[in-house]
Amino acid sequence: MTAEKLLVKKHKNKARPLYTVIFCILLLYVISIFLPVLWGVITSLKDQTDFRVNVLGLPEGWPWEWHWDNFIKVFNGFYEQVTTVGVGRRRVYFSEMLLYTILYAGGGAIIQTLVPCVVAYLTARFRYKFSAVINGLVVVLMVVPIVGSAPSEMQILRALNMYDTIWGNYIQKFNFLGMYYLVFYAAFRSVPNDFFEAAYVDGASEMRVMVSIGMPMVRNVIGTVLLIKFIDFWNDYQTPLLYLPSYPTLARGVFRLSQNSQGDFATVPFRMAGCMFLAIPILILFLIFKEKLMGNLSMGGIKE
Amino acid sequence: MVFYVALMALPCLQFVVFWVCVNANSILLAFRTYDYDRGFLWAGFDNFVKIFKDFGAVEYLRASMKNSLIVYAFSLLLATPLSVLFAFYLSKKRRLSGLFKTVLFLPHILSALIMVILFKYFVDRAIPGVYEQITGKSMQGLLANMDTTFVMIVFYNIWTGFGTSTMMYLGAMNGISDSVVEAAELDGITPLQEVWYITVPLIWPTFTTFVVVGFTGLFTNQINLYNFYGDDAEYRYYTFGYYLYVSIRNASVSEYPYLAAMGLLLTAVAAPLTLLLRKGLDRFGPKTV
Amino acid sequence: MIKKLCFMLAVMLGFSVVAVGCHRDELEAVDSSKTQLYVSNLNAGISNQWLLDIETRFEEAYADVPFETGKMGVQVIVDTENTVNGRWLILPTDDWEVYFTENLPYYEFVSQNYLLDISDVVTGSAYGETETIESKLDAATQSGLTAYDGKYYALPHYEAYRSIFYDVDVFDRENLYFAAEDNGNYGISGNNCFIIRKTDKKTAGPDGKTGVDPETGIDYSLDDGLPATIEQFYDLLYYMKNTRGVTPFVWPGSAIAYTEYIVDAFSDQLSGEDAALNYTYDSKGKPVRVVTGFSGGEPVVEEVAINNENGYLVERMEGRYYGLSVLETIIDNVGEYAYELSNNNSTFTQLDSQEKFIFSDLENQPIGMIVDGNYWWNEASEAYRRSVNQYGERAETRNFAYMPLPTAVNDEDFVAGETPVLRDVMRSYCFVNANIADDPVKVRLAKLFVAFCYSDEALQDFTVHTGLAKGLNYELTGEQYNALGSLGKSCWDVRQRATIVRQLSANRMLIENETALTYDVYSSTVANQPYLTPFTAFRSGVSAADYFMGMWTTPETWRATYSKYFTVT
Repeated sequence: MTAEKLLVKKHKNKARPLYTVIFCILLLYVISIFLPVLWGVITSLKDQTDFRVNVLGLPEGWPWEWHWDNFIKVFNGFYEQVTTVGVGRRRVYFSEMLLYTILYAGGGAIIQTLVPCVVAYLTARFRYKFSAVINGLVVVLMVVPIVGSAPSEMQILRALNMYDTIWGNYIQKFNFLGMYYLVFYAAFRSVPNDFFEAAYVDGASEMRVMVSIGMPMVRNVIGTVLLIKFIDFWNDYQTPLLYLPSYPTLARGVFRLSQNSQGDFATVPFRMAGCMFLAIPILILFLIFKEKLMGNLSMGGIKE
Repeated sequence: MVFYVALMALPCLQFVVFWVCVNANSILLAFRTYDYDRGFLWAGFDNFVKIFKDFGAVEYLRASMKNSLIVYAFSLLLATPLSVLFAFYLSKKRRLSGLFKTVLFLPHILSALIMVILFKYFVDRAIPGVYEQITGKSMQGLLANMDTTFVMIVFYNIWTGFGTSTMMYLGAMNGISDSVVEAAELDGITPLQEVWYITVPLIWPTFTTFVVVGFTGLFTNQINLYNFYGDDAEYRYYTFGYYLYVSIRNASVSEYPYLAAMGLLLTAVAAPLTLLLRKGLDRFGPKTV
Repeated sequence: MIKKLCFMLAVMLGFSVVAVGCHRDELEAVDSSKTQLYVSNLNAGISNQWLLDIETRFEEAYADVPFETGKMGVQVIVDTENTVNGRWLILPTDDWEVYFTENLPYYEFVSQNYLLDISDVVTGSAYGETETIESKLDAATQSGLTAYDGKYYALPHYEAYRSIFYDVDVFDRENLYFAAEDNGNYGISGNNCFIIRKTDKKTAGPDGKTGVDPETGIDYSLDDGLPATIEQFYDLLYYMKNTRGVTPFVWPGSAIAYTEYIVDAFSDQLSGEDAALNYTYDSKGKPVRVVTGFSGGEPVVEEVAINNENGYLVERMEGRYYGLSVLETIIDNVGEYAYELSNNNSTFTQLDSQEKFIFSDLENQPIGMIVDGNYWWNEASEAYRRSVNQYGERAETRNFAYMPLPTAVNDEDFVAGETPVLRDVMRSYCFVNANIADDPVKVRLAKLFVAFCYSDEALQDFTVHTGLAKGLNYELTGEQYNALGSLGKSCWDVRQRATIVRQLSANRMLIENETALTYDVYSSTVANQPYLTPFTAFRSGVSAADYFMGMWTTPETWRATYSKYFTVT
């Protein structure tokens, strides 16, 4: 190793007060998150008779006596009653909700990643006046609160026959508004023109350039936004509640579970068990893609 | 050119239909008034005049402004620096970085439905329970105790809010070239100096975006009050975002015009300020080569 | 990475499709040989068996009636678990045809043409009967429902009251009853006010009477020994807690707005029939006691007749002040007079509160009263079941009842013979969606269905299944009455004697300003600090008098907003 590199290495390994302070803060933070989550898990393994008098402690009895069956009961027993005009009345259980959640979150995430990406590519690469307008529009619209638009949105959806359909919901999501447009925009802006020039010289069409060069350049950003959006839609219960009444998602199911004031499931242990169903698939997904997700999202998409 | 138009067409059409058309009616509402017998009638700027009169007089609007500013101050002066420092720590891959990364992002993954319940039970049952065990005296929960409620809510927002911003800063920091950093280290700078003189300037675009988005939050952030209290939060905790959200939710049809006008007024104030802020940060921020 | 993501997505998709295949539960498919009717019922925590029974009987009754060419009979498709509360229904674009819901802003929806005119149903008779449905409505309801333009657009669904309910067994066991003065033991052994032995004679209670009336059969002894004045009520709270070790109150700490029920209940009982002024704004020349200020901490009262012009005085009615005053006393001593977690604890929901109330006596930590709506027993059915599982027979027969409230502030003002006052703020209605107006088949079907739901049989069935009364006049057979739980019976009994106040009015001023004049009536501003609910203010040391005055609308504001409804004299 060169003398320089040795110095740097020594420098790196010196104990630094700043790092120690941050380490302590972060450690405290971890504990503050870990304890409540642990409590959530323990609670989902109790029954209400136990929980009522023992809110904080471990479930009574030995681990094999804990109420693992809470999960089975919720999975098999909790349902939402859905009535669709012209079709009939049926019960939707967690399994079916999972299906709709994947369609809603998956499809939604793909659309809400690609559309801003493409629009950002267009506005970043083609500096027409219109591009600047779009850019300003996105920033401004992040602030605007809208009054009483639910009735008019309903009317438009129904007029176009898009209410209560999954593909209709995809079209509703087909916009470029929001923060991630700006992320893609900055990413594309920081790509030097040379990369694209080379391709034009080789006779590629615009479409070709975008798909084969532009997008791969920001593929980390695409991956990350995809995951973030997927997580957001997975947890979103308000939109499906309003626009997809016949296709309840898991989040909506868990929301209804938490609101239920009657029946077996109206207690905290069951609600926590339901919440676990919502949380665990996403947690698994997150843990698998952890490295990719964190560390690659940036406003400039290129690392030297 | 054809390519541009072809690909722009669909999203723009969607925007026109689903944003402009849907909201055109709501925007026009600001200039109308509701009469029980005759429906919506044109009222010019009456609603706006009423709003200006109310602003001085209506107490919860003042509480909203005050709380919105407090929350914004906290996020700007506490949460943002912490996020930057956390990201800096993680970018250096110091001890337990992997664990910290996961846990910082966890609240973003778990839906608010879950986080709020966990927080409530932790703060209103667990902490008093432990306190009682240790000291034998009973204690009111931290959310229950009205002196500490607001602080707890702000804390909740900061506690669950590190995820996205820290990760964004981390991503930007990973884009800083190593050679610059190594050269500085050879010159013997401390980590703190490194953050101030090197890191922040080099992630300035990212930083700017978050500050700007945070600024819009001044007007729209409802600090999770709806998750805690539904429609019934006490006035003293109101922020502007919550006030608008709840008013809109519970408005009778005759109140729509007033609220639409308020929304429009808010946009008229906030939008230019936001754009100005962005310009200012771009113009006067550190220039990097 | 994207490839991995897509792969995972595909796997999850596959899993869920398989899982769904094993777990499908088709309740009812549309039968194309019949005409459909879509009925929506709000899931409000009460049993919906009554609606399923009606569905079966209705389909049977009309099985051989063709409504459309080529089809025979009707298939009623009922959504028993609609979660959208009345206020947020977007009716013009909704698919449902008949609704049972609560929290419906009746006049507002009528003015927007959301509800179908069902006057012919109301003035006609229910299925299998000869008397009109209208005859089952009381006069105030009739005039209130038709006040907009003389037509009926909805029928009352259930009635519910928010008040105080008590555990009769606890009161009996702990002798929490006032002793009559001519009780031989009075004054002996320091227990001046309260009975010492179960056989001691009790006071006559809030109604001032005792014994069973031979003509009407009303038992006036049910409220004997309960506090007849507010002064006595305070004595009871003190005695309960400090001498007998019974915690007086429990309510949900996460919903402290429940404490407003205490204010309303006391206020209404003290105001008597004047409680209706909250919606009629017209005392028809009769003077009403209103507070005009305070002197030495006591309210200064004047008697004024109320009309639209001085309608702002309604919020200054004396009863309303004393309601606040009672709550102030309770909250100032909240550590003693209420269960610990009721003090604003965000984890203590109304279900927890009900559960605690049920279990409290079983665990020897008795709580005397719960603040809730009379539907609380329905919501707590699971908690009751758990208590029986855990404590067996002890837990099976419980005795809960509506708490009769004081009718006067102190002994000097007490007048015997006052009837209970119940206020129904649920705004629960049955109506038909106006968006089917152009379809004669649907309109006919919907109207037949509504008529079917208002036969005496249907009304009784509802009450037996839910313990709640419907907002009409009807009787229960002895058997049906006995099928109600203790709380159901108690509420039914009170209802027969009570003055019922509904959120309906013939006054144009209220009709056109329904939300402003009925919603959010407890917010107040004291010293430039706004409060949503009195609880917060009282915990912050604000007095009832200041809070009361902070609620007042000024005459100028009133005139500016409502001048079109009166001529300024």
